[in-house]
Amino acid sequence: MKNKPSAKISRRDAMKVLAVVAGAAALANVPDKWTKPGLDIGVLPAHAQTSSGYTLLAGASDPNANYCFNLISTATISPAASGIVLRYVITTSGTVTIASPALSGTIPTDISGSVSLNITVDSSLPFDVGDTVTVTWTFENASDGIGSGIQVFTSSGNGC
Amino acid sequence: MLVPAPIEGFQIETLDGEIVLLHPARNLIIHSNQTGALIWHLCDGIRTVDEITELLSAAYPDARDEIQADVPAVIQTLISRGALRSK
Repeated sequence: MKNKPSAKISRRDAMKVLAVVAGAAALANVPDKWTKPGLDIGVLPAHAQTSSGYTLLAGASDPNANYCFNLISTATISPAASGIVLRYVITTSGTVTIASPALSGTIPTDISGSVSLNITVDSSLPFDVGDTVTVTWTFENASDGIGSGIQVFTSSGNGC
Repeated sequence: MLVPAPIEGFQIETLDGEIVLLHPARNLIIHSNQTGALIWHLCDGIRTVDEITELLSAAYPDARDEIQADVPAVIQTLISRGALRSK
């Protein structure tokens, strides 16, 4: 495979880039000479492991969801970490119908380990008494953790 | 074109230019020397493998041939062990 032509980088400019990416003690972290990269990869000792990865907790269910057209479902992982991808699945009962988002999708956690999903109900098919919207959260990557979180919004009426 | 990107969730400790990457949720620990650390830091989800190789070759022109072989090999290892992902 041919490499695409690229603009020549001066050694000075290249070292500047390396100094930036190497971190706070930049110059000290950039070696003078190239040595063969060494990697030791292993598993954490037992005392440092988290047996099942992150723990997932969905937001509290609401048995009195007297909403109009908008719901917000939340979930958090513990310990907090950003970029852990969670999958949501929305199911409904009754006449209430979801306009957006898609009934299944993924969202990465933010820096506080949280995700938030704004759900909009179809205005022509809003909540009726007893209708439910259930959001089930799971880890997209099973190695990140196990378990799931379920948040149920049960309508006690149409809040419009 | 392979664009390696970091996996979220790593805790990074740096000591004298060497790095230790810990991913408690995946029970993974990676120790790397300075050059391996440089490669890992350069995998930002924006640069391609070729661009990383070119940058390091410009910084260490005497080792161009070694770098051409070392960089793809290290990145492939890090991807296969779950320390990087391919965008």
